[in-house]
Amino acid sequence: MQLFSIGLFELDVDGRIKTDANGPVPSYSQETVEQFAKVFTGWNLADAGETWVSNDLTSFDKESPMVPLETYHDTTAKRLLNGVKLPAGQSARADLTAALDNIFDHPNVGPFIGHALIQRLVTSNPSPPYVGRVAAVFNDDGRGVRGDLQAVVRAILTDTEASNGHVDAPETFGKVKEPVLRYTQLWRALDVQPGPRSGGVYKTPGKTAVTIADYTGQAVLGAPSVFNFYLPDNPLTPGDQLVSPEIQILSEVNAASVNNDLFDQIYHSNNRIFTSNGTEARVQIDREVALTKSTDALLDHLDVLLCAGALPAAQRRAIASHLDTLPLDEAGRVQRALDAIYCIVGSPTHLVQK
Amino acid sequence: MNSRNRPGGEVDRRHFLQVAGAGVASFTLTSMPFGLARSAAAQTGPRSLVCIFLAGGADSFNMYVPRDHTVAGQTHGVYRATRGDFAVAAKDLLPIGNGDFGLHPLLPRMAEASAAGNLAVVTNVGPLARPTTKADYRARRLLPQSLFAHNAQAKLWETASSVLTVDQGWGGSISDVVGDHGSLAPAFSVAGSNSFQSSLGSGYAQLSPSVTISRMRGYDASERDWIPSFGGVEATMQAGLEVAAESPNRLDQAVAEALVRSVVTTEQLEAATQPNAANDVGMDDVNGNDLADQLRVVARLIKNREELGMARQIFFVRLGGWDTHRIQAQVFPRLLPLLDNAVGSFQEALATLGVTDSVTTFTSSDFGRTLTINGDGTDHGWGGHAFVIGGAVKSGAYGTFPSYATTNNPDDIGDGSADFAGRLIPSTAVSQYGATFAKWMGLSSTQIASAFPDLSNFAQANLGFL
Repeated sequence: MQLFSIGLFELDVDGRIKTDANGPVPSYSQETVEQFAKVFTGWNLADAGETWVSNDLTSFDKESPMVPLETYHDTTAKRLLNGVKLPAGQSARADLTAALDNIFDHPNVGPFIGHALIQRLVTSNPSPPYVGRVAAVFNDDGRGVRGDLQAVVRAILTDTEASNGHVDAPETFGKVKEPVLRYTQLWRALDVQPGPRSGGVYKTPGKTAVTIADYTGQAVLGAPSVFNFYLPDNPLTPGDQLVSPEIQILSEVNAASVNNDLFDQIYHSNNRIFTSNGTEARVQIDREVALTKSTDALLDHLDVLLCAGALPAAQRRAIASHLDTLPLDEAGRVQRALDAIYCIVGSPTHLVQK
Repeated sequence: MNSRNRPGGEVDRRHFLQVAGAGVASFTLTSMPFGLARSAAAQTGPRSLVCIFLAGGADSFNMYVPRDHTVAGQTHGVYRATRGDFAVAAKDLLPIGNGDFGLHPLLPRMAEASAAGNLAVVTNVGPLARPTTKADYRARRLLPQSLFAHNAQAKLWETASSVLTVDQGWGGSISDVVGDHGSLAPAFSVAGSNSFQSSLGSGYAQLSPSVTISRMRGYDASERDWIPSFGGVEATMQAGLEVAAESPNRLDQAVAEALVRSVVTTEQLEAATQPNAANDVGMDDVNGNDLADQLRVVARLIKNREELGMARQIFFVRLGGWDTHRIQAQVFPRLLPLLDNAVGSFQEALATLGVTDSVTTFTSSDFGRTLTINGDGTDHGWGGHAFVIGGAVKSGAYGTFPSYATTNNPDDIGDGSADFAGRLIPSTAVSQYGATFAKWMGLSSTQIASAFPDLSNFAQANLGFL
């Protein structure tokens, strides 16, 4: 409830926290938690029978849905959210279904989920009206359906704040790119190709997927706790009104190690220069090398590919004047392509999606 | 996040560009400003404070246990009755002090620290706005917010506050006063971001036990030898930083500043943190112990603290896994040796470095757990016991030891048929606990009052264990 559906405090439909004389109004209490705990009693792993599975789950079926054992279900009445009461004597499954409906029907879900998805897809600090418009679609997709996520995502991406935020709110719009998105953006932009298969696996460029977590603070599908890699309300700077979840893992060491890994991928793991004796994937730079005939054409291309057209003019001028000092022989043109790519990918501009 | 932004988020651009320029061009260890002369350290010598956060809510009631204690409600018999199957037998406890209390048998190195006079136990401590009774709890009078919830209570512990809207950590408040080290923050986390070190002023640097620090490629001259174009790349990266710093967009500004801090910090700390002979601190017996691996990074920075010009240091490390709702009987015995060996080995390293008296290490956690057991584990509580280790420590027990009685227990929040929930109301506040460390770190009474606003609600401003 805290993290995935309604949050700790009652919300208006536009996501703002409701307050009373005591401050923010809690959306549930310790008693609510205990009442829901009663609801969830009696469920066991599908093939465990009446075995109390406590110490070691390895020998049991963890993929099939769990099954109820009515003798272990707490059949007393339960008080759930918003005054809903489950009568005594219901089956484990009936209680579970009713409890999940009780959470799903909580008015917080629309603004809570809407805000979370906007933060992942568009901007860290959406305006309340934007959250309200998205929550309204969650509550009713126009055909009377609540919780139509396809309609919710469409509403998020087609909202005027998504398309015009960079113009209407230039000081606050956007989100910091998390490390995994920096990696995948580089790989997709430069059409990364696998090296030879080795030991049955293809390797990512640079660090292996296993060690990426150490270098980035972000292990794909391996968050360190239920609180994910970063918190939705992490302040942009200490004491800030603005939030930036992703900046929480841009620590001094992570910022340097991610930067250095991207550096290695660009300079040492491309299809023209490959200094590793391993089997890592390589980024493809032929298109960029071909464009070095015209610095303008190269930077137009990289601006769209890596900055969504937002490469600042002063940074572009600085890159261009550096590139123009390099020779135009074959080695010089490879150097021009690599330097242009790195001078964008290693810069703050590339770290902020606007 | 770690920042030198001023309150309100207004970037001090002049300072920023100054740092940016220094980081790229010429900042080296030898050019670092030394702050010793202007700080209280001139009198005391350097001091380092280490916070070990036991994430998940450690069951400290089974770490420090009544053994031969005879006070009603605090005897081993009452403990055993309350704890049922989880009770540690009196004969197995490692006696400390006068033997009234003992440590869990899997904490032998902590017991050795106690025998050497280097261990204090602060009992039943937790977040409080003011002294709080059972009647106050019933009436919901000025209670800390979101009691019994993990991240909320962890934050209140780390901010010494009773409200969640306070972001300034008490470690951060100490840093803001003692930070006097030029561009290097006085605080380091080896366990990611945390509220303890969060600060409007000095910030903290995040290090990692698994990644060797190397300076930001492209932002300094170290690549010049083998990439002929690198002088131009450096200048271009510098231009990119300046463009972002001058951007109207606050995210651009914050990211530029984060990168500048990364450039400066990695350059300064590269030498002091390398796992090489010069930085050897021992602790080889605990390789792979998650907490010890973090403390080894801490020990290296302590070893180099004078060379780094640091009169005061504040560290944050974390050991997770303590949320033992289930299979506590299996999990708890795995966690205790991790803690005990890490602390023991760290203390040995400090002794070898000759800095035992100037490094103080303490534990904190989300909350104490329930006194009662749920059949397979223990649940979220409130007050719990904490440990303080170091040569400056005055060995002993501090605070009021609570009753463990399952009926008529004045220290319990009450409720249910027996008016007993197994959740103890703290008798000592985190504010008092934290203020005692702040005093040792050299803060004045005025500075302490400002760092711990609730402290004036309590009779004792210094618990006296340092």
